[in-house]
Amino acid sequence: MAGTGGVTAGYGAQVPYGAERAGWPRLDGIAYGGDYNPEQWPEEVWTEDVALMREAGVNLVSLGIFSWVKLEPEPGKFEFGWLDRIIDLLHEGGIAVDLATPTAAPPAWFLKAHPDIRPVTRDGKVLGGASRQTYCPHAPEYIAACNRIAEQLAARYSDHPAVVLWHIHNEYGCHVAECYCPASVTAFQEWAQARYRTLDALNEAWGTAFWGQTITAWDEIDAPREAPADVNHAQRLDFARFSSASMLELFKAQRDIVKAHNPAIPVTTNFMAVLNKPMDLWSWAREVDLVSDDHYTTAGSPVRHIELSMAADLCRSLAGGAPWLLMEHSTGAVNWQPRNVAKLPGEMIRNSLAHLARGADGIMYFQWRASRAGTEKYHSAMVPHAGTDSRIWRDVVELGRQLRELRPVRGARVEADTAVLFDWESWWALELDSRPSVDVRFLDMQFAYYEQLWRAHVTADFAHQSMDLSRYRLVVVPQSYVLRAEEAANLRRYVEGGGTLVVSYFSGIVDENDAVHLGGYPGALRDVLGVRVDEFLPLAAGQSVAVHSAADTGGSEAEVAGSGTVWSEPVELRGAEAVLTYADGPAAGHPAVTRHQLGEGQAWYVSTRLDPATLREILRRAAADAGVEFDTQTPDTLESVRRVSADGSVHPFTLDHTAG
Amino acid sequence: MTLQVERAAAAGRAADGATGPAASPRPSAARWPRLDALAYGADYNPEQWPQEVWVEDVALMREAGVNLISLGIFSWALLEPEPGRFEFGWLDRVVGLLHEAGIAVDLATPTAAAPAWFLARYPHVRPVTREGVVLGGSARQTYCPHASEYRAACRQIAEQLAARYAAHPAVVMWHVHNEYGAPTAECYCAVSAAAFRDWLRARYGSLDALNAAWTTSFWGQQYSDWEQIDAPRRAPMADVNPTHRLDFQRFTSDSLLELYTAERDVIRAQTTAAGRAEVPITTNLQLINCKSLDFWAWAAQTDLAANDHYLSAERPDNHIELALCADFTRSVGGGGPWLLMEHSTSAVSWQPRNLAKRPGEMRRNSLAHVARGADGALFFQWRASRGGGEKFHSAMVPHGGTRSRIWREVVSLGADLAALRPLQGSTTVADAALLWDWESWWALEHAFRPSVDLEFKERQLAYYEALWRAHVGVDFAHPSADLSQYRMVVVPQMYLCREEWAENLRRYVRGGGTLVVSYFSGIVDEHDSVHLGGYPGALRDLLGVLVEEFLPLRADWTIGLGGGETIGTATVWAEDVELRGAEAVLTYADGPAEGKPAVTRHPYGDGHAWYVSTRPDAETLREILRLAAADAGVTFDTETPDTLELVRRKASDDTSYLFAINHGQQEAAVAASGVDLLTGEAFIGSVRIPAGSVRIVREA
Repeated sequence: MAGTGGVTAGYGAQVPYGAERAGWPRLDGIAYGGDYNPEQWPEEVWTEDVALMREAGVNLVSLGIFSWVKLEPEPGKFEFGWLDRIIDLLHEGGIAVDLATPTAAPPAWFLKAHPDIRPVTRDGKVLGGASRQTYCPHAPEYIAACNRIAEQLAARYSDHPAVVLWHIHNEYGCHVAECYCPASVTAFQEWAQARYRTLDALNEAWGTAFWGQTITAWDEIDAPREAPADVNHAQRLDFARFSSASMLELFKAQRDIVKAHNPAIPVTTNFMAVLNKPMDLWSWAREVDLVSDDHYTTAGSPVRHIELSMAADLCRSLAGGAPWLLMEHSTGAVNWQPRNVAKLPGEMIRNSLAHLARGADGIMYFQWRASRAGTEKYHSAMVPHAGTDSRIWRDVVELGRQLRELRPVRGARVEADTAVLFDWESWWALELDSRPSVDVRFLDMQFAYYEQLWRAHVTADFAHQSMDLSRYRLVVVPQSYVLRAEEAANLRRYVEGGGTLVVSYFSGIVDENDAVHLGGYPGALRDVLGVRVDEFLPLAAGQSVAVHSAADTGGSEAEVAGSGTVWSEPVELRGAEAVLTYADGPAAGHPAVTRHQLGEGQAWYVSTRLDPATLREILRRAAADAGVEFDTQTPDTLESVRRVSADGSVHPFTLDHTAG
Repeated sequence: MTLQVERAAAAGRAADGATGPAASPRPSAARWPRLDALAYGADYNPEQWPQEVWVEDVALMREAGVNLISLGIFSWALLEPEPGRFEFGWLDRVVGLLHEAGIAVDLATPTAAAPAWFLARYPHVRPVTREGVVLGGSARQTYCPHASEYRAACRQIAEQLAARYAAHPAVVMWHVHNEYGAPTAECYCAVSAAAFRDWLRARYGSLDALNAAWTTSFWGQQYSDWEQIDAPRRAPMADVNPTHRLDFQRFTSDSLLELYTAERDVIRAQTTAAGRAEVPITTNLQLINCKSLDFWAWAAQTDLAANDHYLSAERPDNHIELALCADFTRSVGGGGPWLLMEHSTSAVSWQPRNLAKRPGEMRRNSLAHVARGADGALFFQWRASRGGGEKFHSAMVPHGGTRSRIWREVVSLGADLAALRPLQGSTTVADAALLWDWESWWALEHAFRPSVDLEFKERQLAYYEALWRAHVGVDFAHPSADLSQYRMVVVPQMYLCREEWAENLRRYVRGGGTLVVSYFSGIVDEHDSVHLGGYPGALRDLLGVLVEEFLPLRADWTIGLGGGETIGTATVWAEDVELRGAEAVLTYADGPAEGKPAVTRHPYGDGHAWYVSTRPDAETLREILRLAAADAGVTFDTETPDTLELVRRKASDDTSYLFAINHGQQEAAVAASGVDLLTGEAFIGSVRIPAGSVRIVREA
């Protein structure tokens, strides 16, 4: 069943140069293509498709993602003829296939035969079909049916020369990540028993003494469904771990099946890196042969290109630095945002090259040909509704040409001397209910820090708080609410060894059971930061407090007069020095930003949500401590990143975002 | 099932592609309640009051000039206090009392409010929402339209009432149910899902046809057995297969219509048996506020068009929305007289802030309906309720009694309507039409679309308002209707466009018509499947443009329109329009489509087809329509103030009645001659209309 306890240990080691070849599809160029859904079109269109793919320079398509009912039209009866034909057609055209298992969309007959596999939401709604992702991840009938169709596909196509990559399922965790049905409750009980072994241990971990929630038998444990008041936070956090682990089990089962047929074909599944809150992608990343990602920009957002960079850097980091594959993005507008603002001319190519600059060795789209009907008909595609006499098609062909020229970039690495810590458990636990302020949000903090590094042309990796950080000069912690004692020790070791650490507020607050580290905040990092906080002082919505340079910095730095929002704290110095001080607000007179000399390094603490300019100035000073180049001269509309090949050749990318 | 065939034929959209009038004058158009004046009255709920009040009610009705009362709308529990036991004594007394006083009765079937005993006995008739919530009673409209027990009980009570009252001389009209479609329309219970499958079998015949129509190849949704098809309940994604949902919306409209026709047929059998087959049967529609029912199909099944209209209290210039609803009711009624079944004397009880009507406003509202073809103005309700969910809804007799402004205005309006007797049967004629199609409304507003700002009613209201302010009289029409009687046809929003409708529009323009089409029209076919090859697929050749990409705008984005200089602004939507025979009239001055045509004009056959690819500001839209009206030879009057509403009704003997309703704060004047029916004043050359007042001039 689901994966068991001891969760985060041993995340993501760096992958050495050259190692990626084992996990990379056999292609002789940068991968270029898209999801291809030929079943939506008559076969005469297929021939035109292949010809157009060749014209665009497409060399890889993802096939069969939603084809379950076409492949298994009735229970146990498999029909592969159409798939044989399209794969052969692609192969003749010299186009390789990323073959999907179709388990994200169970057939209507399957839902009719097994109505119990329909997922149940936290508030008890049973979700229906005529859509996709209608399944409970713990239903034995569903799991068996997934494994059977995967087995059938692998047996038939593992030795087909066109098939170079396996695409398991689609976007695990998207739409349905949790299920509250009886089968899921039973699975959760088993998972909890494996994790805690004794009820005493579980009661201790979950703090059930609160509100008299003591569990006296394993089968008393329910999924943390909607209740009159907040549900036990530790239980909810464990349910989030359980749900991520359950989905990962679904993936691993299918992966092992296809691997058994031909271990040489790499296996992946498409993440949705920055948007996929329910899946702990650090744990997923070590189970895939290569990291692949779906990325969609927030239409019309003025910082969408920076969000894109953040997602790309996170993917590269999940891949341990090895090349990764952009499995899906869009040529123009998507269909699922409120206002699906189209990409501007040139934007699609800039987006693609930005992914490439940050380590992608392949650029793929959802989807090849725009659907004529269905919920995604207004999602842009490589071949739009208007056909090939269109700007989008011309750009698609042009990008294909550029990618062929960029072939030497393949395998080259992006080198970063700065890391930003990113931890899914903190994301889950932080955003439960009943916390000091609804304005403390995980991605908001991640992006606030990432954006200022990006604007100063600092290339950053993402890392997990349990990893060896010694290769980085600067480590930034925008939000690590959950921090185990050993992870805190890891950060201490990093600083003592000469690293520069920047920590934002409400980090290091609780342990893995969402239990507070006592004795003054931020409990796990008090000694590393050289501060102590005896009370949180969150601010009212819209409230702003002034911060300015601390009096005792000796005038060696420029005077700062900025502001903070969302949060403040009555920081007491316990070895650190004040850098900025609160001028007003509930913490007036207390330090707002501090710097602590510890061993060979420095640990900075930022106790409020600084305005962007002030945050950039603090990061500039920390970067100076770290010896990291922090370039505020080059305009922040220019994106510059370098990839370096194993032979030392450098591939500089410069992207001008002033065009829009 | 025969119903959907009837529905298609009624709305002139038969599957064979033939087009015809959207709402042709029905064979039964002659059916009108036997009244010797314009109808005046209200819903009357005597069961809420002791019998001594009834006598006072009748006396006051006579004082106010009331001649028609809707009775028994929510009386099921009183008429059938226990299963199968009927008590008509109280109703006999009320009908008798009204008849003695010369007040006619519009008798209702009470099926909108099933008794508590019925819900307790048949708990599964309670409707289930898309989210799976089972709705309870202690309200009204608690029913599943597909529950056989509910259907049988409706027929039974209708049969009982009709058998008893069909011959009663007071009963001049039948009022089936109340406000079908809101708040209950769709039901997702197991019985409804089974009924949906039956409807689909009748529509598609084979699963192959259904799978093709629904494009179930998308996301692997193919069906191999009818039993696999569910109601389109809430799913993991924000929306399910959109064609599946669209068919469920069609099915729901058909199902409710079936409820209506079943009761109607029961009543008709009794009135026929009683020798009174001429007594009209209808139900009160809720144009334009009921999205769930395709009223084009409904109107064809009613003997006369009856509408409930309530002002959106906080909407600025809400008298324009009123005019739209009145024009629409006339149009679904085939152009003949129609009945305003409900409106309010002042505030309602169900809006967020129920602003009261100010002195004179009720009169302007009522007479504006009459101006646009209503041969009667009724209210909800006669006497304001003391308790219950509607106790703060205004009435003809307010809580304050007869020593009140409202009562005085009610009595005065009764006198006005009595003076308008010569208008009976006259009609309002328009030479422009707006196209309105429920299927576009349904399909457009599914979850996944290019922009949430694509809203059906918003565009309809915007175009209507621009025409209203320029004193252009309009009808509404279905896209399949014969449009040749109109000089100008405006298409504010027609997302869904069948090929035969596109051909109908081509024929119209080729024959000399002027067509104005707004963006995101002609995009998909009847299966919500995109017309390929460039947008707007079905209308590309007619409009002489090709659009390869939609360019929706951010929420806060305003872009410029113009040529060399910016002369207007636009929001919400832009497109990269390419000319394919059309000429550019306005160009995008900035934004994502900068430099591209924004508004175009295409000479086609003997006519012109205009295309507006964005949402222009109100002034620019009016200017675009002025230019199009000039092509059409339609008078577009921007000189007369847009606070003065001018409409004409024409009698069969060509007598013309000019309605001049002054919504402004200043006295206004209009060039005309004749006698004001309301005051007897005679005017030569110019009619003066005091601020807030109304003139109805029989033109010399």
